[in-house]
Amino acid sequence: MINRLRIAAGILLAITLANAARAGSSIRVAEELDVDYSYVGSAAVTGSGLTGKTIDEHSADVRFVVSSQVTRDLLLRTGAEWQRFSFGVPAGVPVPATLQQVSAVVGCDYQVGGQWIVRAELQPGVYSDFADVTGEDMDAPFVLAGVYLVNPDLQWLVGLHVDARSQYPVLPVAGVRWKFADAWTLDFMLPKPRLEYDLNDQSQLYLGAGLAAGTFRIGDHFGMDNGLAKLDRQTVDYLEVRVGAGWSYKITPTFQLEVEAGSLVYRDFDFFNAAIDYRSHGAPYGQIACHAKF
Amino acid sequence: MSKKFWVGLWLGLAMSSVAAEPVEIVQRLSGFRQMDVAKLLAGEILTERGVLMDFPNGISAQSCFAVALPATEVAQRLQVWDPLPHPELKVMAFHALSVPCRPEDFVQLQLASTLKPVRWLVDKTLAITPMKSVLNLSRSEAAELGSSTNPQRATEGWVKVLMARVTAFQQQWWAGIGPYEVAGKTIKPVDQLHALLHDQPLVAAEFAPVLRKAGLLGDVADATLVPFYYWSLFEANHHATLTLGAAYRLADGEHYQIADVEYYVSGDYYTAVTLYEIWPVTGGTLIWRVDLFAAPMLEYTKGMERLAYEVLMVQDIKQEIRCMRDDLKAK
Repeated sequence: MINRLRIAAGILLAITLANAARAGSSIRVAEELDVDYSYVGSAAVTGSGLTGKTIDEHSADVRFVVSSQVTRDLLLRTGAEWQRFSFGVPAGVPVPATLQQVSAVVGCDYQVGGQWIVRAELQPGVYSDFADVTGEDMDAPFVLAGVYLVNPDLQWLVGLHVDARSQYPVLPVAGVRWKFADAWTLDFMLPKPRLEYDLNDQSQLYLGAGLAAGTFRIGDHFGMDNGLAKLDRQTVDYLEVRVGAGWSYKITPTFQLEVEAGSLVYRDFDFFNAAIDYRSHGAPYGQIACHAKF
Repeated sequence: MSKKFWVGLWLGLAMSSVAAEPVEIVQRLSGFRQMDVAKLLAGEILTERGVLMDFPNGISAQSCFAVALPATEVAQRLQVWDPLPHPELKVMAFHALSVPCRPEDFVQLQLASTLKPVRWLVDKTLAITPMKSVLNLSRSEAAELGSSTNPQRATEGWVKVLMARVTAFQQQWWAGIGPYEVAGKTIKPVDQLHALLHDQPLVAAEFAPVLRKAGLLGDVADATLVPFYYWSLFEANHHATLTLGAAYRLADGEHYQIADVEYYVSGDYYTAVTLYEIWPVTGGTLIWRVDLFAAPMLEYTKGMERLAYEVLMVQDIKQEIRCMRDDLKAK
């Protein structure tokens, strides 16, 4: 396992460094680095006959994207993402201890017409519990979204999320960013819709939700090892929904730190092909994140 | 100055010396490939984002429109155009300035207002320290305004600051423009203007005649145009912003160039210049407009954010052109 993680981390680092080296500091190239870590406390797991067990969770996400201006209207996006959910799973709970994504990011932003910017983004990579990685663990979810820029205070978003392996292969996406008062902004954009209040030019408080979701392939012997053979080689749709409040602070114009706490209101491991579903509700969480732009 | 600028300027000057139709000139210097003067006269406004600048604080946009009026009238009225009657442009005050500037020119400046953008400006004025402010001020201006204790005193302080800047500009032209010193680093608006023009050598070459006569390019001794001086108060990014501007007009027969330069801006951005080239065409007048704009946050606005920023800037310019055109038509 450790070797696989090292390989995955090595690939991620190589892509990141290659992009960084190419990027330089030109105004034509934007680099975005988003890092977050969170801990979710113990929450009871229920479903498919399971009771009296709890799991906790550590999760982390590192995403680095370089956006290069190719033409006046076209930005090419390349990068990498690593996301990991680690669950503290007691014996007898057939929930994977790890769900992990190591993927490339390939896409573009394109201005269409006068007021639309369209983003197409493919994330080919490994989406797995990393128990035994094979070609079947490869996936390539795709997002196609358009932002309609009404004015500096109002933007609409519509789009589609496509993941052929998921139970719901095509999901519509919609959102709005509306600065409706001097200090208030409704930033209702998935996966982190928020109501934001500007304390000052550097500091902001927010109430919001966080959505983490993904489709992962489980190992060949996961079911057997957990006394539920039909879960071997299954695909699981993972979804968690958090609601919380946070504080963000711009340390510099390009570096922002966020601290957030709240409650995990819903978590679902949906082995949809095996008709087995485990859910959790109501656990506290804390998160720290940073966003940098170069 | 870099080789790129001089080569571009030379090429531009060489090409601009070749007699060409206005449409050809605009097509050569802009990205407007499909231009139909009849459609422009019927109301079409062409706009496009400028090419990405190497100058990190700069941004540009171009537009083209036409009106069924004589070129001379259009040039005269564009130079002194007053945006105040258009609430959608969020201009709170616009006033011509005398030469020499007098306190009465600023009688309409009143910051004792309940409007939130104005309150923002007052709050930031009252928060000024001699060494620190988010506003674009020299140290001596910060000291002057820093003694303000209420909106009325803030208004009086701003009138003094603006009058001093206008007087220095009227007496010494570009050399009279003081730096911004208290918002983190020292910025000279003239350097920002030069950097914007330097980054757009073809545009600078095309507008070299008016820019030279305005003293922004070349020898100051060539600066013979007397501009239309003005001040304005408007809302930018939810903040009330004071600007001082000078609009220069150069005639060459019925062909005109206008350079409208904001040589002082109180905050949010550093400077802006709007260039117009105006030609008589069959049925009216063709106007090509270039907007160059320098702002501190642009240095950190890249990728999709910058794309979005440019799209929104173009929308604002288009809205302003609609208002201009309506006023021109209304006589």
